[in-house]
Order: sequence, then structure tokens, then C-alpha cells
Amino acid sequence: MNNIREDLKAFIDGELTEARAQEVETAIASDPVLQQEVLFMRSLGTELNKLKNDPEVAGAQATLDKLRKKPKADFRVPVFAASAMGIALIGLFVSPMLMNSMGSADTAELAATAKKSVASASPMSSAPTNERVGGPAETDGGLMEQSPEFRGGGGGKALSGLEQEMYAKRGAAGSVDKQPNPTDVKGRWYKEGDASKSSGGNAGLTRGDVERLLQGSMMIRDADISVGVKSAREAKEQLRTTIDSWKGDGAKILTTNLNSTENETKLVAELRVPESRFEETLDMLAKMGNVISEHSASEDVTNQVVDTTVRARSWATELLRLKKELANSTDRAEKVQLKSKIYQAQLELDSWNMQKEVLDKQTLFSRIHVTFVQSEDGNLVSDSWSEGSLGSATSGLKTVGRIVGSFLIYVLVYIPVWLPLVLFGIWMKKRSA
Amino acid sequence: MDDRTRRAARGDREAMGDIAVEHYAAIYRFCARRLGPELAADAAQETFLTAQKAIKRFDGTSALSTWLFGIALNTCRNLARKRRIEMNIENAWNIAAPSPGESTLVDREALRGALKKLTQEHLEVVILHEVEGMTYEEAAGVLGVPVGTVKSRLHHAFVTLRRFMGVEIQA
Repeated sequence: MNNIREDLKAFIDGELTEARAQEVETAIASDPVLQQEVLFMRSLGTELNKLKNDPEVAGAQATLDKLRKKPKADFRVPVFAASAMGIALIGLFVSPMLMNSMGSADTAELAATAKKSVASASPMSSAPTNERVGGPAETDGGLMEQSPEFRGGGGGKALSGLEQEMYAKRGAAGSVDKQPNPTDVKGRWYKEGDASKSSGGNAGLTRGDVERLLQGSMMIRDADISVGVKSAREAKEQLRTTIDSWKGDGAKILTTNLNSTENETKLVAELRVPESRFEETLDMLAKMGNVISEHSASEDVTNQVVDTTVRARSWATELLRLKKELANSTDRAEKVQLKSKIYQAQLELDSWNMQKEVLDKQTLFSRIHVTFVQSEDGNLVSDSWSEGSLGSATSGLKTVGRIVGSFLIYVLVYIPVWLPLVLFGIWMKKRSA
Repeated sequence: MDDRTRRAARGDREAMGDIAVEHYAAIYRFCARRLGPELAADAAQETFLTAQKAIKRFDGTSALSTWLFGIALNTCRNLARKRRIEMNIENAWNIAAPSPGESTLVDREALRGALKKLTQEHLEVVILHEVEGMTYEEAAGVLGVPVGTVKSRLHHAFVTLRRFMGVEIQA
């Protein structure tokens, strides 16, 4: 009966199958309650339909107009495509810049710069790039170009000394390059006798030399490390023992300063260590206690080294040539003029040699500033932690600034690329509107 | 699927216009019975614009009108949600007190009270079937539910109405 009752509404609406409708009809015929229910449902359905609202239709024309109106051309896709293309173009050129600003050196660029330096250092160069001292402009020798080495003609022997020094330099710097081992690690880049040894004015570097030189980078490295120790004095002794054992390599404690206050004892030392022992020294210091802060900086001076070496070579050759000319000269006035030129050339040569020596020392040795902090209560807390954090944060901010700055520069430079595209897009959009 | 619908699916605006001409009144009333006459025109227009965009996806398995009512129902629901309005039975029925001399099958006051007690689901199915005159299958198509569900909801809606109207069936 219940099933019949559930189908009453469907029966009234004619939504049952014929067989089921027949079944329900039979049940209704024999049951007055079902009959009353059917009657009520029919009345209710009729009433609900009779009372329905039939609102007056409105807004048909507006809808029809909208449906039939030709749509505006949608320029969003081309505008976005053009903008994306502009951004991609800019990105293509910005990414190398970003890579550079993040510290990845491009070897090809470095080599190009070095070659440029070589060219500008030539005494023939009319526009020297180094603002400190140019080549001897009044010289008309064109020595580097005349040199068989520069032309790639069998000058290797004459430069073997320099070459060895360069490889020695790289060997000392821990380069993996398997070149002949250095015989004189402490040797200068240029020795007084080199020019004369390189018979016939074959000074200057060959292109091969430059390329070989660039295979290993010359770095000036410094570090500042604070280490918390249990005893500053013990640390000092340990440091002295280690540095003394490296004496043969030129390692040295330059200064030490011990300060004791009521709560804290601090030992500050300045170390000079061979560049090859730089990392080793930092590791050794770190193992002596708790590292509170550590900062290291390095500067690639390969280009400067190449530049300085080439200039010194050029001036040495020039000096040799002038001296030969003086020896052969018979004219008094010419002799006076040549002596003046020799004096000038000597000054230049000394100046470049001095610069080379400084660079040489800086690249051969690294400086490490170490602070041992000893706390009375054994708490190895440094007072320089905030300084360290500030340093790191500032450095990070500078990097971000550099990247943003580079990006903005590229955006500005590429205005001719993206601005027309954007303007075109705006114009098209306005036109379609 | 008829030729006009096919043309509309291909982007023929005139064909779509013709479809609107044929179905606008029904759709408008459908919307008016849910949202009231103030929002009905907006809802109807929105329904046809949506249909114009979506007609490419219409596969003809149901009648075009059923498909349009389905879009209209969704449009009305969305609009009601945005405007925070609920379905009002006064929009669907004009249940005024009977005029003198008018015979009524049921007590209208009791009907009004009972309709207000219906759930949203029951009210919707009652409107679709009793007011819009849809078959169970059409109502199921519009609501996106099986036919059996429509049948069941209608049965329960009527039982509820009878209970709240206080009608007792005596043997």
C-alpha cells in the first residue's frame, strides 16, 4: 500500500508505466483513502497552476540586440602576445647580465678584455685604456707588432721564464692545471734582466701567453674570522706553532693584540699566509673553537696582472731599444734627446714594475684577520654577531639592488623594442572600442 | 538538433536571435518566478548570452528548451547568491484571498503557509512541474538529477503540503 501511495502523484501526472498505472488504478478503485488522496493532489495541482504568476515579459529587445550585435574584436591575445614577446626579448638580454651580477665570470669576456688590454698597452696604441700611464706614445717602434712572438713566430723560448712564473703562480694558487712546476714561487712577474735576456727586444706577451695566463685566475683574497675559544692564550700558541711551520712558504703573524677585560679576553691577530694555504688556514682556525663570524672576500685581478705585465715588458723593450740607439748615435743633440727619453722610459718601467710587485705580493699572499674571543663563563658569544649579520644583510641588499638596477637599465634601453608594441596594442584596443 | 540550432552553434547570430525570440518569454517568466520582475530581465539576458557562448557544446540529447532552462536555473541561482536573495513564493504564485463568490479547491491561506515550509529542493521541483508545466524528464534535465529523484521529491513535497495545510484523509 505504501508503495502505491508513493506513486500516486506520478499516477496523477501520467508518469507511470502502463503496467504500474494499471496496478495503482486498481488499488485506488478499491481504497477510499487513496481516492481521497488522489482527489486532494489533483485539487492542489490545479490550484498551484491556477495561482501561478504570469508576469509581463520585458527586456526582450535589449537581449535580442545584444545577441545580434557583432562583438568587438578582442585584441587581448595579440596585445598579450606582443608584450610577452617584448618581455622575452628583454629577458634574453637581461639574463646574462643577471648571471654576471651574481658573480659568474664569463671566460670569453675575460679573454676579450685581456686581449683589449694587450692591444691598448702596446706602445703603438694611441689611446691607452689604462688611465694611470699609457704606452710611450712618442715611440714609433711598434714593438709588439714587430715582435716575432707577438706575430706568433717562435718567441716561446724568450718568454719561458715569464711563462714558468705564471704557471708557478697558478700552481701556488692550487690550480689543477698540470703545467711545469714553478722553481721560484716568490719570483716577481718581471725581473730586471728579463728584457735583456729576451734578446733583440722580444718583450711583451704572445697571445698564447695571455690565453694561458687567463686559464688560472689571479685572486686577491682576504678574510675576517671570529672564533670563540676556551683560552685565548692557548689559541695564540697554537696559531703561532702552525704559522711557524709554514714559515718556509712565507707565512707570518704580522700583528697580535691581546685585550683582557673583566668578562672577556680577546686576541686579535693579523696573518699573512700563502694564497695556497688560505682555505687551509681558515679551516684550521675554525677547528680551534666555535666560529662566531666569518667573512671572506676575493677580487679577480687577472686583467690587471696581464695589463701590468704587458706594459712593463713594453717599456723594458722600449728602454733597451733607446739604449741601443744611444750607443749607436753620434749626433750630440740626438743623444740629449735620447737620454731624456731613456729617463722617461726608466720612470715608466719602474712605476709598472712596482705595481707588478704589489700585485704579485697581494696575489701570492692572503691576509686573514682573526679574533679569538674567550669568555670567562665559557660562553662563546661574540659581540660582533650583530655586525656580521648587518654585513651579510647589507651585502644581500646590494646584490638585490644591483639586479633590480640592471633590470631597469635593460628595460630603459629596450624601450624601442617594447614601447611600440605596447602602444600598438593600446591603439588597437582603443580603435576597436 | 535542428538546422537553426546548428547555425547558432556555428556562430550565426541571427539564428541565435531567432532562438531567443522563441524562448525569451518562457525564460523571462521562469526567472521572474524565482527572482522577481526586477531581476528577471537581467537574468534572462544573461541566460541567452551564456547560451550563445555555450551552444557549441549543446549536443542535442535534450530539448533546446530544457537546456536553456538549465542555464536559466544556474543563472538565477548565481544571481540570487550574489544579491543574497532567497526564493520567494510570492514571485511564483499570486496567492491572494479568494474574491467573494469564487470557489476554491483548497484553503489558500493554508497553502501559502505550507508552501513556505517547503525546502528549496522541493519548492524548485514543484515550480518546474506544476507552474512551468514540465514533465518529470524535463525537470530532471533542468535540475541535473535522475527522473526518480524528481518523482520522489514531488511526492514528498505534496505530502508535506498536505500535512502543513492540515488536511486529514479519513477512511
